[in-house]
Amino acid sequence: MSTTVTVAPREIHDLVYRASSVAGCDAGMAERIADNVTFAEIHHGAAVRAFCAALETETLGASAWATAPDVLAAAELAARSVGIASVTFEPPVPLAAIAGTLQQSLERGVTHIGADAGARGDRAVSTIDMRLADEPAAAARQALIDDARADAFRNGIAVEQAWFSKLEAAAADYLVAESILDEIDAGTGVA
Amino acid sequence: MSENLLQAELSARRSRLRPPQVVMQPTMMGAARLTRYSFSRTLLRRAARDGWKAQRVRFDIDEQGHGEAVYQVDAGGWLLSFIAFTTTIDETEHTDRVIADRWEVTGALVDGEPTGGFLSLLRREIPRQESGRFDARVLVLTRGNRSVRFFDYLVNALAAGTQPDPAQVADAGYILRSTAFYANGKYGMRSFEGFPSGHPLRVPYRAQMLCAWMFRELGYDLVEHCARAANPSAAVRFDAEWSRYFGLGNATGLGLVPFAFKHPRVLHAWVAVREMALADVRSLRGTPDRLALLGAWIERAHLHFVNGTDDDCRPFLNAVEVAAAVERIRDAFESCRSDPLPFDALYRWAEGCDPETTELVVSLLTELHDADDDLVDEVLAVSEHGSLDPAVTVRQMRAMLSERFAWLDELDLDDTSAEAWWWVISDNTEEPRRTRRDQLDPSHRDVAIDVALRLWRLRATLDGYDDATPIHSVLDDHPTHRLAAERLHASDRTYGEPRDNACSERYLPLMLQRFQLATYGMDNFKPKSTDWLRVTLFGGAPRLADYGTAETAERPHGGRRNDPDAHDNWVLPTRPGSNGHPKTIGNRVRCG
Repeated sequence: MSTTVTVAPREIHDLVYRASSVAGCDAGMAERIADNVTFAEIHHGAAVRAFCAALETETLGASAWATAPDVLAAAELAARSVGIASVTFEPPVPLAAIAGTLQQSLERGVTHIGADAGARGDRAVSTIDMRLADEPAAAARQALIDDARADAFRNGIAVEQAWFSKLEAAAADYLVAESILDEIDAGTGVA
Repeated sequence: MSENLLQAELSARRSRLRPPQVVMQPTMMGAARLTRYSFSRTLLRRAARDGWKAQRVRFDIDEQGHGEAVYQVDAGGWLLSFIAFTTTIDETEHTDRVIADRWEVTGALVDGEPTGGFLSLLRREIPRQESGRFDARVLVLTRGNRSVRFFDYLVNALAAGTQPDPAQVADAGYILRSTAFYANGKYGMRSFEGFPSGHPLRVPYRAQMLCAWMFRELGYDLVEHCARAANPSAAVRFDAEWSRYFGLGNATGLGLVPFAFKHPRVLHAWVAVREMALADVRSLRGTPDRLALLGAWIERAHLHFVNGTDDDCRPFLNAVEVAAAVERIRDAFESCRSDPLPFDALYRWAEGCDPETTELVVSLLTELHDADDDLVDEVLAVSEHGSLDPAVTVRQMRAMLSERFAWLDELDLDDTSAEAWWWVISDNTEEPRRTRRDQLDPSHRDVAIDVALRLWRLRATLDGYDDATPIHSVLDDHPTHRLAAERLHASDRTYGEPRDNACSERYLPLMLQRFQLATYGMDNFKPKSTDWLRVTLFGGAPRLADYGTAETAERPHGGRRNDPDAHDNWVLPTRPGSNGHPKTIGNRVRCG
């Protein structure tokens, strides 16, 4: 069994944001990736692992991590217009790349089939069907989401130490050396 | 829920509120002062009202002041502990900057009692600060140093059996100076949202304030302990005048600025609470009680400032200059007394003065207010949840831009000077800073608080689209506008946006820093550059013993325990030994 470290949700969010930024994503895109990974780690697990694996193999800004949520947004609009819409990802995308976006759609009244609540964040998703939500079912799902979220914020989330360390390393390039900043300040008269 | 409540309260006062084009101007934010609703005040009122019991439970400190101390608060059944590790370091290692790696005091506010394995973890990790690893039992992490100028002087004075000479300590105002209060999930600590319903710390910054209050207590205890150790037969404790005077010093840098730009709904709530109080007070008629109360506060402010120093505090006023402003306020108040709405008349007079005078009047007027503290706590607990609906049309986006960001036109955002700076996080303790774009390329490392620039550019891009186009399509074409579009959606509150460009050549961080520090309850603003300043927190405030248990009856200051009124009129303390004493300020008249 792998060693885990308990982390706060914001730690995942901050680190994924930073790692996405230095991987070339604009702030808005990095923010959305961080939202998705954090949501997926809380509710599905294995999201940090999936994200770090992607960093090692993909150009993040051109990958499904950046583009799949836009595809879902278009499908959501279609579902709201005609009642149902379907999305196929080829190649499949990790659930961690879209989990938070799917939740946002649910909050706007559009539910989905193809990404089970019990699935892990690193599960590959190839098809998502979206349709207008049945209100009681959506409310029940929301209650589960709220409970898991509250628990994550109260007690933290257990993440595999090895993957969290990789995430920290990937995010480290976002930081600028203090000595460089001091040197610039000295040269420009900033105290 | 709390947003609805806040919006309802604001709506009820809509015509009487100051507009954001006044309140959110940098110069006005940079003149803010603590109010009755600053977080240090609301903490201590809550503690008194709910009968919190506070005490020192362990003090294993040697004669040099090295060791370990634990303070506890029983906050209505929730046990919270402040554990501190103390040492001394060479004077040359003292720095106000957050990036230091050694401190004379390191500490943490924790949930429950630190014992057993948990205590071992705290002993190992707290002194490591940002390098340490914590868990959800740890609520706030802090550190600081002794005042180089005054700590030893105070020890020597008490050891000699005397009280400090007011002329020697000038307007020092503190014994220990903190440099950071980390919380909300950093380094594995408890997330703010992790405080369950009903928890006494489920109010923004209450955990940090509680930690700071006990940190200040440690300063007093260290001085008195070291004095006793130096001269057991002759040493005395601080007398009643001095035993509340000192606060906790704090050195504050650029770390505050990104928070204010990133959380528009939080900022709105902070400002709205103050503005509602001001609106209520301006509507009051001038009964003798109310007029006397404001008069007493003006006198108290004068005594506080007139005994301060004339240090260079630019761009702010120093204490002597503020005292002169108070004298003008006093004169103006005398001419407003017979007005049917004298407090409104005083405010209208102040509006024509400089921002420091205006906001000082606001601060004084809010002392007449008495809102339900439960309501204030509730409206400060803001939800930031919510995302942009991809179906929102360009027409709707334009309307939002026009309603919420018309002020961008005033900032000259097409000029190259508009992006002279970018915001960065340094590799040393992750301190937020700013650096010049012409000296260092951001290369995707910028902290995205360039709100004004992003919204300005989004506005230009929208010009190329039909009204009916969904924003989703615009963002497909221009993904770099995503953050701006989300911000436009989230910026749905009156007082959410500082009307400034954080990347401008002319941007002055001190303005926003002062607003935030005043909201926390800090005072005595002493800028040390354009980017950082020193302040004091809890100067004049009650001590732990004022909230003690029956068993800890040792109370040097008199007065009743756990009486909110007795525990609230402590701000603007007069320096011991000064001529004159503030009048006793009576209970307020409910008007919130």
